[in-house]
Amino acid sequence: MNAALLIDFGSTFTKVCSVDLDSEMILGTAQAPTTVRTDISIGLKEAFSILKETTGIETYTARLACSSAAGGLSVMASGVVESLTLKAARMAALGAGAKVTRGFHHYLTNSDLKIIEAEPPDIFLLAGGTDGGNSEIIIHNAGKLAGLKRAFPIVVAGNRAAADEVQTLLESAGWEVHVCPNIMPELDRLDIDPVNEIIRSIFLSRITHAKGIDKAGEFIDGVLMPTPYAVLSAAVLLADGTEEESGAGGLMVIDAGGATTDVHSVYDGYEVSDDVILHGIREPRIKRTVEGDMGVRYNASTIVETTGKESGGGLSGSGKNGFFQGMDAREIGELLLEIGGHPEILFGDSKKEFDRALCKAAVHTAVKRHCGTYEKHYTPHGARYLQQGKDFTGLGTIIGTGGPLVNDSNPAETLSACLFDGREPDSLRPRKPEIMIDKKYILYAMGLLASIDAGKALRIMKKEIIKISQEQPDGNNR
Amino acid sequence: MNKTLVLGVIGADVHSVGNKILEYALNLEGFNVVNLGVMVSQQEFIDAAVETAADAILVSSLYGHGELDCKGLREKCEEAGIGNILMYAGGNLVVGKTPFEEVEKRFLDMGFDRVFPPGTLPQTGIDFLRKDLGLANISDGGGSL
Repeated sequence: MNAALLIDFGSTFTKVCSVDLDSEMILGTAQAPTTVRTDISIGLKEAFSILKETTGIETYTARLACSSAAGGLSVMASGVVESLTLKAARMAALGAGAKVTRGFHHYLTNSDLKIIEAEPPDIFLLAGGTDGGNSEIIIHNAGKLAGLKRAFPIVVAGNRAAADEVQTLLESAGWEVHVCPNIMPELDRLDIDPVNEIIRSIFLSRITHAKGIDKAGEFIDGVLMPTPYAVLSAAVLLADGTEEESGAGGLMVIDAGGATTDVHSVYDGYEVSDDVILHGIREPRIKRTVEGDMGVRYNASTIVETTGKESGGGLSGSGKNGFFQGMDAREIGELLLEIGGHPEILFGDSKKEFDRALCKAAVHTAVKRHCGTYEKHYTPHGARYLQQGKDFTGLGTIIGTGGPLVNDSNPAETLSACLFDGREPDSLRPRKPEIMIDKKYILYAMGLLASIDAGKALRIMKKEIIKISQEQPDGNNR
Repeated sequence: MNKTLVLGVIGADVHSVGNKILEYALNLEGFNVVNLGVMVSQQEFIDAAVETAADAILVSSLYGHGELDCKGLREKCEEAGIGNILMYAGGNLVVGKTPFEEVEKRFLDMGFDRVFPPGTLPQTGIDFLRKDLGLANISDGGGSL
């Protein structure tokens, strides 16, 4: 048999997925706790032996892994203006599968440096200034970074007129510097791909080693990418297809998790009519956002608070439009305490509704932040709309993944909380997409498989990612 | 290095024709033009000017609410660290038949360096830009507006 083993070294669990490459079938999946602190191969061997019980397969023709273990890939970024070069830098880092632990704009201060030194990132992305634009700030910031004691690779992707000086400044102080083309060469143009690529190559060449993930080396052919990048690659493949086979068209993947809720989209989002005027930076077609305050386990109380305020229901979020509608504030408080003490807890039937409300609120907020907005203005020429970010109202497909959604008994209903809502007409969320679910949790695996055979990965996704939606009535999605 | 100009129509104003003509004329003249288009907020003018290290901000307004829309722009530039940037305003800046001298005074008081009435040709603005940015001397000594 010609089979591939696909591995995700997650922050909590090491997941394995076995694929028959001839019949293009998933043979089985399994997981075991990640053991990155001792030896990452222990957890892998355990997951592998569980998998072997169901598949009986001992040898694989390909064994590929992705990783978000040991804190994933952390990036700090700096730019000149928050809504311009810093935003572009954030998007580039997220698109490479990193998490952005801090963003700085304008001049780095001494207290910023203390923050950087206290929790140094895996990579620092130094941006700022359009080509020929502001150069003082990126040069100042390079000088500040050069004086730090903790070392990490620095990717420079700012004003090309300042790049030489920045590189010399940092290299003469002994820093590892990678110079990329400017992330924002002109105000209305982004160049994100080169930064994206260099971040991933640094991840492969040194971060996996620094975090001890390469200890699994003898059991696998390689750690190819950060896990979020594998998921994003799968999303791109499923949307766009291959040269031989068409894809599913524009789509959004919503990955609800215990620590974060991620949203990936492959969609243009800028097909606008005459009464719409575009503002702000033009976002890339392939976009990823990470909500670090929307993990359904580690941020449960934040989720309740955020949505509570939004729906006018006070802390409990039990107002008439709230996700926690009808729930007793005291009961919610007790459940939150329980989760706070044991984030790994899985609630039984009686408390499932609370868990679903958390998940609904998380996907609602995460998708809302991912999508663009309309601002209606009455001008002497009639109503005009200012659009910032991407318009997803016409999107065809959303796909749910991640434990809380995959294990949900009615994920279509939970996911519908993220759709367009007539009560928030300014938020350009999908109106009537088909709702699908990654039931076997294979997206990361297909992103990995795509690196050796995109056609097989595409066909397996088309089989395994299943439609679960009925048509949703407009404006009544909570 | 070419001088960089940030250009846009401020407020809820959607008049785009003059904006396109100005962009074209300024480009021909060799300026590096960052055109923000129509319905541009004060913050967008400032962000663009900071990021591109612009030499001037050129604000157009055709629909009569220019005075409201432009109020405080100079102060915000000062806050953003670009208080000395050259700032022009032009167009149909206020509603009604206010004499241009009065309009000009109001905008100069708001911190604009030059103010242009409706019907000004692009070349007039360009001549002033060249002078104010120290690019070349112009023979007519500035002329009247």
